Amino acid sequence: MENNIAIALKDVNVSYGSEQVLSDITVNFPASEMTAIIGPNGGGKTTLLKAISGLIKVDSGKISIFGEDAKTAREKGWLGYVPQAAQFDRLFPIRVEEVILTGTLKNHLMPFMKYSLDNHQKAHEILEQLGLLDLKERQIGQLSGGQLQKVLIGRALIKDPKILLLDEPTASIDTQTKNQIYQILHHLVPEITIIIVTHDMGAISSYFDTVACLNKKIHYHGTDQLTQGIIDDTFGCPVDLIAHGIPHRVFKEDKEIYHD
Amino acid sequence: MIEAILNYQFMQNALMTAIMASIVCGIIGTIVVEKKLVMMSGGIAHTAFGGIGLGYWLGFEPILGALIFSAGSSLLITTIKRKTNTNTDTLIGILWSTGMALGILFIYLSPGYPPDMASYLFGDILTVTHFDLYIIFGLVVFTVFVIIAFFSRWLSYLFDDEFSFVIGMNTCFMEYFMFLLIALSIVVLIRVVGIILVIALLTAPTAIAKQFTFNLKFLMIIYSLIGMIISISGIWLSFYLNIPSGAMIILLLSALFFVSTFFNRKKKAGKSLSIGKK
Repeated sequence: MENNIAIALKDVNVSYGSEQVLSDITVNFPASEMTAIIGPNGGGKTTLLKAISGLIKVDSGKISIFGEDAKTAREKGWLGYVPQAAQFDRLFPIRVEEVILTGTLKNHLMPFMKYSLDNHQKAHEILEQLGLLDLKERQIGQLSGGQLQKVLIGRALIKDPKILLLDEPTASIDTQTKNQIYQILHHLVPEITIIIVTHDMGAISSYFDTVACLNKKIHYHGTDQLTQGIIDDTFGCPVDLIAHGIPHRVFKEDKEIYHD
Repeated sequence: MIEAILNYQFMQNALMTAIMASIVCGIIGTIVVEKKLVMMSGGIAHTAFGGIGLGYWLGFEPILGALIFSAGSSLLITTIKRKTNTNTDTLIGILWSTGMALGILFIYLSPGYPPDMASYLFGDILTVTHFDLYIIFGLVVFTVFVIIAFFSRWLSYLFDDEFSFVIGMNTCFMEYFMFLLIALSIVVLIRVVGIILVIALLTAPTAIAKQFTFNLKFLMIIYSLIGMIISISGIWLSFYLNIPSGAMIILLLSALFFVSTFFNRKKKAGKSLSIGKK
């Protein structure tokens, strides 16, 4: 049973100053599955990803990754992190291939290190797989948002991580590229466990095995069909839930928000 | 000027300083601009004035005081930024004036005639001493080695420090180290153009160089070359026209910036982005 859990969080609390962002999060993310984390803005989705990857210190609670603490997991190269493409300075002087290759860097200090032939080959394979081979000499400012997002995914993949954490990889990206990205990720399972923060309700039923609804607390986590009740509960207001490609809209009356 | 170089020690020192400062400036200036640390660098430079004042008061080399103060302030800013949520801009503003105020206080306390502060505020490359030259040489060698030896690592860190952290790099150490390098190079540059003019020397060449390349390595090299040409011609002009060298260097630099921006815009009009293909 233990082996099937990729990431285990126990009573995790995170706050920014007096603002509690995550409260008593206890959840196990299953290995070799694609899990979506959904929830409203400010619900702590990005914070949860950052807490798992160690970018944010937790106030209390325990996070373990395949039975090890987060620091060990980072040092062993188990984690791949894909930030939002929108947060990057597009004028930064770096080429696509260079971005991908930085994913191979490790912590041991090797002066005058050059990327090995293996690394170059691996980068070539990944660029091909992502359909970016033509763009490999481009400076990142010359890419579209979707292309840059794919480059960032490639950078995280080059070191064969066990877990891939993605922060809204399809935000403000057109439908076709969006589907491409989901297809690519879908093919990585079961070798890689994938956890995605997303607002993309449409993709959930077609691509994801598990869904976690997060708004300060985990409201729901499981593999069963999402119901409108759970979604409303998470978002605190009615939200469209589109299941299995058949759009149906369920509007309900605004009800009391009963999470604290 | 050739004759002057051959005959006068101070001219030789000035040229050596200009060349070394340009190298360090090319590397650190690129980092400062790409990491958006221009205000921070201004703050560190002005805090150094406190150290210069302390040197005069207690009777040791002012450049050592500047070194201690700017390194100290850079580490302080990083620590406070890491530990608290204080807005760094505010913090820099406070350190900026506190450093200057301390400098004025220390100089007031110094016995005898007040020293000539203009050479530190506005730079005077013609008064660089042998001792300054040794310190500058040491700093330049150190900076160049550290950056070139771990270039890929710096590239990754500068582009995305969060990702670098997640794949296991010690980004906390790198951040402290980066600020230390910035502080050290500011001390070098204070001798060349002075505390007040240092910011232009750290930023303008990148803006010029960026019109030619989008490769970080080339950017640093072009930057250094621009720095060398500008500072040597600045010294030459100031020597003949009898104008303060620091001001001359900065004026040449900003003139080059505006001219190159203007011509580049004209050239690029109607064309698509084709730079950075290399």
